[in-house]
Amino acid sequence: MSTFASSPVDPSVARIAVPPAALRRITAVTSGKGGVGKTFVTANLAAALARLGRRVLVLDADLGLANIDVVLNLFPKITLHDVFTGRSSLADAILPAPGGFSVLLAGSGMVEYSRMTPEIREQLQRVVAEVAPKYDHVLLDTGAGISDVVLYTISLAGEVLVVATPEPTSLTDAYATIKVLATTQTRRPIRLVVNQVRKPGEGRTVRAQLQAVVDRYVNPGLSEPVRLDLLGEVPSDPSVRDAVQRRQLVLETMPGSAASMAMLAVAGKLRA
Amino acid sequence: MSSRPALRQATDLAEPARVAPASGGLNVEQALQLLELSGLPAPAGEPGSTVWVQAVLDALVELTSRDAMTGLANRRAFDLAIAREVDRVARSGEPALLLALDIDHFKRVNDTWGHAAGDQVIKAVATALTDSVRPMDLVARIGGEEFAIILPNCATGFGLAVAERIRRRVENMPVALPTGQQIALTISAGGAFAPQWVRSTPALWLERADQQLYLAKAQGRNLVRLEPTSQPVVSNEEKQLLFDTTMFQDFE
Repeated sequence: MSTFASSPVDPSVARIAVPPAALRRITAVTSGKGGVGKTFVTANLAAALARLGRRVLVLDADLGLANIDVVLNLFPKITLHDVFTGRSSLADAILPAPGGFSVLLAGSGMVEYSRMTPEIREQLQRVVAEVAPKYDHVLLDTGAGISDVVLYTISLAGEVLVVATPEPTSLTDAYATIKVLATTQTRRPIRLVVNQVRKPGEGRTVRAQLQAVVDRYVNPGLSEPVRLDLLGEVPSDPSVRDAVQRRQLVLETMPGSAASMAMLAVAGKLRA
Repeated sequence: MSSRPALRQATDLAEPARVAPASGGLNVEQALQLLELSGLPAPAGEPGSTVWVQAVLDALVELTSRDAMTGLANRRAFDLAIAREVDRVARSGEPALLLALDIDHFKRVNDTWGHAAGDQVIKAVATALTDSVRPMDLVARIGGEEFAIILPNCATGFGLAVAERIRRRVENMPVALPTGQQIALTISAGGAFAPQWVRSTPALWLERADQQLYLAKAQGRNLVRLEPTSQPVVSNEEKQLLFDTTMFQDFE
């Protein structure tokens, strides 16, 4: 582990235990790099899970930077910020989203939560623990990168879903996230969705490439090797751009599109 | 105009101002006097026209963004720029460095050589700072002998080299007074990178840079200190394997 001398990880993050059984259907969606469609995948995955009959909640765990409000075109008066400050109850902050799932947005009042403090840590944990038993699946839309906020949020989940594109910068940052998670956190399954794929099978190539580097540089130092689980690939589809432009879910606007079918397949695998 | 008291000193220094040209009914005489006094070119365009009013406004913005003595960005422009940079870094994840710099023993310069020499020193340091950084970097005078530099998209590995270059440049640049005497100068600098991917605040960032500046001063001055950054998580060898072209021949 010589290449991993020191990371920007809050040391206490590493001590977070795997959530109890009630929290096991909590998926943290993260991406290493921004702008790869993490929030798009989160929202459409939630809609796909809802279509499969699951009760789903999406939590904007990026504390206001996730843009899920923009993707869903929802700008609520009551947000996670009000829950944190005790001005509002958790139930009042949860909204129905267009795809048949529920959403808990952070709002833009979260500027002061720029760093992970013990208070925010406690608040986030409390909120997640409180909502988890009420839903079949909770998706945590985390920030990009490997900041302590992102790593802490992931530590609250039972599994991690890494969204990456075949772009070199996205691959590098996805790899960095996987490496930091593998070497600093309790083991949880790491799933992969490859977004913006230009030809069929590219998702498998990306997974193989990431796995090869993990096998060479990360797994030798671990007692239990990391296996990346490819949930699916989402094609670079014009219907996606249209839906994003119109601030709608592709599953709603173009349910028959290749991207929608891919998201349904990912949801099916995630549920399995 | 309500701002008259603040301007009296400035206008006292100047020749009596000429009456402004016809300006379409706008009361801008004082603004135009101020621009002329500050050596800014007369606004282009037909007085009173939209183009001309825009030129007056642009010139006033320029004037209110600059430090009068050094021509650097002033505190107001700095506050605006740092807020923008914090936002940008939170979304883009690019590394950005903030340096806080302070002239060592400046009070001694003032006390020994007088305020005119002090002003000359400040101007010389301002020039040295501007000459040591890229055009895209923002150099600001944020206090009497305090400066700050925002360096967007500055790789973490280069931070110390940049700060050192600035320190050495000032060290090797004695200021010649009109009396023929030379003043040797040094500066101390503290720096911190913006937290990538995390939304922070300008105050927090500046505080971290200031903390390093304080340490540099405490450790003897003429020093540069950067807040330690973590090692890159992904090594070059790992990147090479990640982009192994045998698997990714379709890139580019």
